[in-house]
Amino acid sequence: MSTLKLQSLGKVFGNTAAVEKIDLEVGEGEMVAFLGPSGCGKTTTLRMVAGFVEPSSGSILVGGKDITRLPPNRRNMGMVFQSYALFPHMNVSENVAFGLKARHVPKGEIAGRITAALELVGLSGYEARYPKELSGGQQQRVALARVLALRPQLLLFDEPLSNLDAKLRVQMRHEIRTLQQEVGITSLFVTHDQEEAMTIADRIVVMNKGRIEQVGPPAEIYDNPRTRFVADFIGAANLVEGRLEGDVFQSARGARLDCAPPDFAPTGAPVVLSIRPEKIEILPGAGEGGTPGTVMRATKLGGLIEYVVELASGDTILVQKQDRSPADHLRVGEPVRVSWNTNDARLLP
Amino acid sequence: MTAAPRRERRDWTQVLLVLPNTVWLLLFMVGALFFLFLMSLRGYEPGGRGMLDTWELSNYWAFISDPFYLKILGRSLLMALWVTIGCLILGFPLAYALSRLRGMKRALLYFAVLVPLLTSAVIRTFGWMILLSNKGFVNQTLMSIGLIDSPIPMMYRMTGIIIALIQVLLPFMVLALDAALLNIDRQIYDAARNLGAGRVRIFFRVTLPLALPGIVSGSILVFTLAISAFVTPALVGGPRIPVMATLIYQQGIALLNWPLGAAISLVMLVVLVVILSALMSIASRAMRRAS
Ligand SMILES: Nc1ncnc2c1ncn2[C@@H]1O[C@H](COP(=O)(O)OP(=O)(O)OP(=O)(O)O)[C@@H](O)[C@H]1O
Ligand SMILES: [Mg+2]
Repeated sequence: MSTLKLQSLGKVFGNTAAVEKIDLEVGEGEMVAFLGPSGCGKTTTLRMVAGFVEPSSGSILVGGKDITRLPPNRRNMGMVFQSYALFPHMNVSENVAFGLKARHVPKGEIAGRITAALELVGLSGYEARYPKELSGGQQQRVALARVLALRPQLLLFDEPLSNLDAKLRVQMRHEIRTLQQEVGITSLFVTHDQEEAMTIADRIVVMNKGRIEQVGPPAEIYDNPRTRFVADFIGAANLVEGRLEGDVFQSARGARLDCAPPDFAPTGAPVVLSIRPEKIEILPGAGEGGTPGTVMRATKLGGLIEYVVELASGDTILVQKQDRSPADHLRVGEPVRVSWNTNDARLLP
Repeated sequence: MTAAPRRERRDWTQVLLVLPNTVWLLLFMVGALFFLFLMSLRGYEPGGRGMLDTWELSNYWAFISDPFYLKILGRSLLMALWVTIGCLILGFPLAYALSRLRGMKRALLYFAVLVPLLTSAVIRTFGWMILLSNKGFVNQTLMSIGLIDSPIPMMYRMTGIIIALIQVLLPFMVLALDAALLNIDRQIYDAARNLGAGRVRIFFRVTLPLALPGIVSGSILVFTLAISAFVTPALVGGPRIPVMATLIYQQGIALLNWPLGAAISLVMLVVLVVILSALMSIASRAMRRAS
């Protein structure tokens, strides 16, 4: 249990920069998720923390102590891998015992620690099973017990749920979260599944091309994206290109749209208006109030209906509505008006 | 309706695919062994009439009751054992390096491992004779740098045979070990390091047990090839150090005592099968959990 601090951490492979100048502080007992598209440097960052990848620049501090040059087997961190990485020739209890023996935990203490760790992950009674005799979810629980038994300062997860089927994945992420809060170990959780990041983490680090785009609690990341990349990557967003004319946003195609005042100094350069589809009100008919447009497409998505509306300017806007009754359905070609709370439409540089 | 005939056709394809191989093996392996067996039961009269028409067990008895022959059997087994151990010790680091490389580097090392197999056994063995003789390269070098005063005799010695055979058979061991090591998920090594294990612990507790299938298959291959090797013991060992293969050759081709040669061949086959099946059953018990 410790704090973690990354100071301008970077990694260059050959001549490609995998990670560039990452600065991050993780508080005691906090769970931070690294989220980003494939190849953005999440795994590299995590492996630098674990000691498998030597940083090209910067430093890593755990509990205030610089551990940048410490080999992985001397760092007290528990890593959980996507492929589980259990020892196939050892049974469950031997798998958990491996780390305890490697760290020279007194013999008399080992059995008790194995029992406690397996109990924690709900696998009591599976001691004698071999990995191949377990389901994927059970194997990942053994991997978790294996690191928890060592009482590590940090838990590191690299897409631990990606090999599980969708239903189990949802169940396991809740289990991991509950367990992590119970034992209170500071954790990093790498994933490219935003729903997973949203539900599991205290804070999310959104990465892109080796850099941090934004750090914040899930709700803030979703409601208040700071960059185009975050707005686009997290959830669905309407991103309308345009510029500020005084206080008013004007799209490149000429539509004047309501928006919140920018929280950056306007420079006259092109900006983007970002608004979530579910924040948009859609009214039938060509009456007063709202921006007029036409329904181009209607798609039913489970409990939602998604409309693509083309505004008079030619800009298209995605709108999501709860599907309450078929009587409310709008037909393709029908004239409509769209409107939103000005605070929900944010300007991004 | 449609499924049944299609399956039948597939069954036929499978039969057709294994048929040539099966026929070949039946004719030239099982058939030949059977004739060898019949021949081993024939009587033999040295000099005059040679092979007789009688049926007897005298050839087997001649082999089992003669310490000279038994010593050759023991020597051959020991030789194969040392060659296997040598190949394991030299081959493991090589195979480990090979399994870790990717792309062009791996292709190059792989080729380097296979190169010895591209030369004929006879030429390769002549090479060893030049290297190993008392005035050969190895002894001359060792003497000129002052490590030894008089040459270490290696030609016409077991040492020379073992050295040469290790070189010839190393590729088989390396390829078997490489296949096993490639099968190990790399994240397992990371996990072991992360759990606090140092390199020595990882080698003995993770790498070695997981490489066991390769160690077994490589050892079986090398042991079998070593004990049946002919050219190397014949040329490097010479007549002074007979092994099973050269003994069989001598009986069959030089002395024309085919019945005894056949009997010795079959004794060797049985000994080999017994040793290897014992080894395999021990190994498979150890591996059953791991696979
Ligand atoms: N050992 C390596 N040698 C060379 N380049 C590497 C190495 N490891 C990673 N990279 C490169 O660094 C970049 C970041 O890789 P990384 O594995 O950290 O991405 P990631 O965010 O984990 O992606 P994913 O979601 O696909 O797992 C990629 O462009 C990758 O090709
Ligand atoms: Mg990754």
